[in-house]
Amino acid sequence: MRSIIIFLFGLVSCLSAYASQRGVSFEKDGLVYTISSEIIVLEYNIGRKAGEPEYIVVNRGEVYVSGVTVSDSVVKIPTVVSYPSTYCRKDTTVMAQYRVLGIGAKAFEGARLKDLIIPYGLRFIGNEAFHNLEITNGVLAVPPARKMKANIFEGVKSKVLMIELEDTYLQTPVPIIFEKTFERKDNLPDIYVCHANINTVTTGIDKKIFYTVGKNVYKEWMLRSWGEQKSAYNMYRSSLLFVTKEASSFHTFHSDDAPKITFKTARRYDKVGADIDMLPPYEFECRNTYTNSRDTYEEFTMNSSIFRCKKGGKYLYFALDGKPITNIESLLDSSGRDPFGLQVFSKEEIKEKRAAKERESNLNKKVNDLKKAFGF
Amino acid sequence: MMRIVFTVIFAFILSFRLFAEEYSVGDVIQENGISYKVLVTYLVIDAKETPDTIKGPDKFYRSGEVMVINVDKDLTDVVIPPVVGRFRVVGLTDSLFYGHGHDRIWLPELQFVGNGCFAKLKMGSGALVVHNVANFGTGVFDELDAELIFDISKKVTWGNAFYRMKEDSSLVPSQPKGLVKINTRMLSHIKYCRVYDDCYSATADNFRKWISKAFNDDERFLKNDLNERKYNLGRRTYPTTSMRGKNGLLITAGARNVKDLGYPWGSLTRDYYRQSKYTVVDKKKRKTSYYQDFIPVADVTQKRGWYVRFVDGEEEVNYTLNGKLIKK
Repeated sequence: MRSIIIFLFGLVSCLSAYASQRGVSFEKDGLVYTISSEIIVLEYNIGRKAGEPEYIVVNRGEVYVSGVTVSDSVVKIPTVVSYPSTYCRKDTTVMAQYRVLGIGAKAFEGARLKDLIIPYGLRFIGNEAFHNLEITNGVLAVPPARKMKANIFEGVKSKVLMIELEDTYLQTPVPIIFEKTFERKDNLPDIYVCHANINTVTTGIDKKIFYTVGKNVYKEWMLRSWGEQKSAYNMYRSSLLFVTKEASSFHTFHSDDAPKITFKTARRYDKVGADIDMLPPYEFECRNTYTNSRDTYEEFTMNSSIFRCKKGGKYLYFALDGKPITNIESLLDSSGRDPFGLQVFSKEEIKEKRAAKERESNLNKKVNDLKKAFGF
Repeated sequence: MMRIVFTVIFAFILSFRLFAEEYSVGDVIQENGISYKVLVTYLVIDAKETPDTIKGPDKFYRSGEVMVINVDKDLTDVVIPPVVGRFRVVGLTDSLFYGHGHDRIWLPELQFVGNGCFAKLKMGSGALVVHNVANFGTGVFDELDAELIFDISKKVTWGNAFYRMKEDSSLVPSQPKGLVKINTRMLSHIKYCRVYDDCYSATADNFRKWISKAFNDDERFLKNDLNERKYNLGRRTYPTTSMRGKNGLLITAGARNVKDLGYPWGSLTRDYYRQSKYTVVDKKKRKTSYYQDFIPVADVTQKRGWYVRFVDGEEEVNYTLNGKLIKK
């Protein structure tokens, strides 16, 4: 855990802004992805040359597989998918990188594929995700997803090999949540697990429906999917343990002469329950050592001198040392935008405010003149 | 009407005679295209007999164990019953089904299956169902041209069942051409067998479906009505006096493995050379003795009518029915 945190500290220098195009779908390599959430992150520009910016902007987020557009071919669901998001900032050519969270409801309904390679560490597999799916290679190998929803395997026209009945996180077994996964048994395919997995303690499923197979059969079926790379399966899994298992990321901004401010971007996978298909927005937990307080914000953005947070629909501004900025108007430009481009006040409001201010200053001036004339 | 009655009585007497036919060790019994060889015999009594009704040696008859030594190649369905007459079927000889082709084979629970017993066997139904077998020989399922279903409920000694012996006496792995299947609940019994990593298992309902398919959904096989409880093997444990009596002997007839007498039945593993064994408990002294032979002796000169004699090698011991040693 410590190494993960250190790695993240090194990898991600700071967060820049929050944006969202949740629900938008795009197609890549035969699969249709739907965006669950999105965030813009400033990454430290490692190995930058002279004249290049210290930070680069990258889009990150989460997607889930919501459909398939090809047939009779091998389809591999990646763990990370890159796509030129329309919400990427205009000043960057870096594509958005989305982590694949899961497989949406009826994503592969009625599809006919040569093989479907599903990665380890998915968060969910949605209702009837493989309904009437046909795998011509004969075996659909399904690694554990944290949540397995209703009637996932109904109508599958090949054997199903469930690779494990529990997940592991840092070598600790994590139970998979089965939500009516095998409720309708009339049209179920033959579902196989490894001999050893039949003793795994599970809740919500009747293990009587399972067939079991020995290690050699299991390996043969897996290698059929993974080709001749015998170690690919293990390597792939171990690489995913890091990428997919962290519950939150930490980002710290501090300098020698400023108090330390720590942000925790919590992804509330486990809190959302049935709505995991559509993740809630990011949440930024801030411990401000200047005010000695801890707050949770809906949005967070920063530049080289200030940072801005949103809480309860209201924007708050702070200096980098954590001191609250109360005079917001001093930050705005002539068009009423803050340094991050947010239109805080409309032009009319600004005009009116400035006119009011001018009137007030004029009035004050007149009052001062009168005071002087009457000797006060 | 009288003719029918006489016919029935005659048939009953005939069947009784057939049942009462005495076999000795080495005799061959042929029944329904299957040959059995008698491995061991021992004396038993009818289940209804008591010490009060046993008035002499004529109430004892021979029971024992047989093994299957030949099966007619032309049989479509082979049903090996658990009991033949008064003899329990305990094993199958070496290469019994070697190269055979049968549609279905029903096997009872067995003590042993000989070397290469099911080698190169073809099954019309596509699967061979093997019930509990205590010990397997070598290369039992070598190139079995069918699926193999283990319908077991007890611990099995797998031996070299899934190995084949080469000419230089070295063992090489050997297993059926089809899948090996087992009940999921019994996986622990196959855990240390070589085929554990290659086998399939299913829980109750699905496993029953596998077995049903192996017998072409024939209910006669599925009901397992070839249960040995139907057969009259006789009672192997009998007291010489009333059970409540403090004196007397309690005799239990059985068989034991003899390892030091060679291979009387071909190359079958020596563990299955069987010899009769009588366990005799003196109820008063609470002393147990073991003998190879038991001979109920009718001696008209004895006032009590008859007595018992036990022989073990050259030793010969006579007891009265009350358990008193008769000195020579």
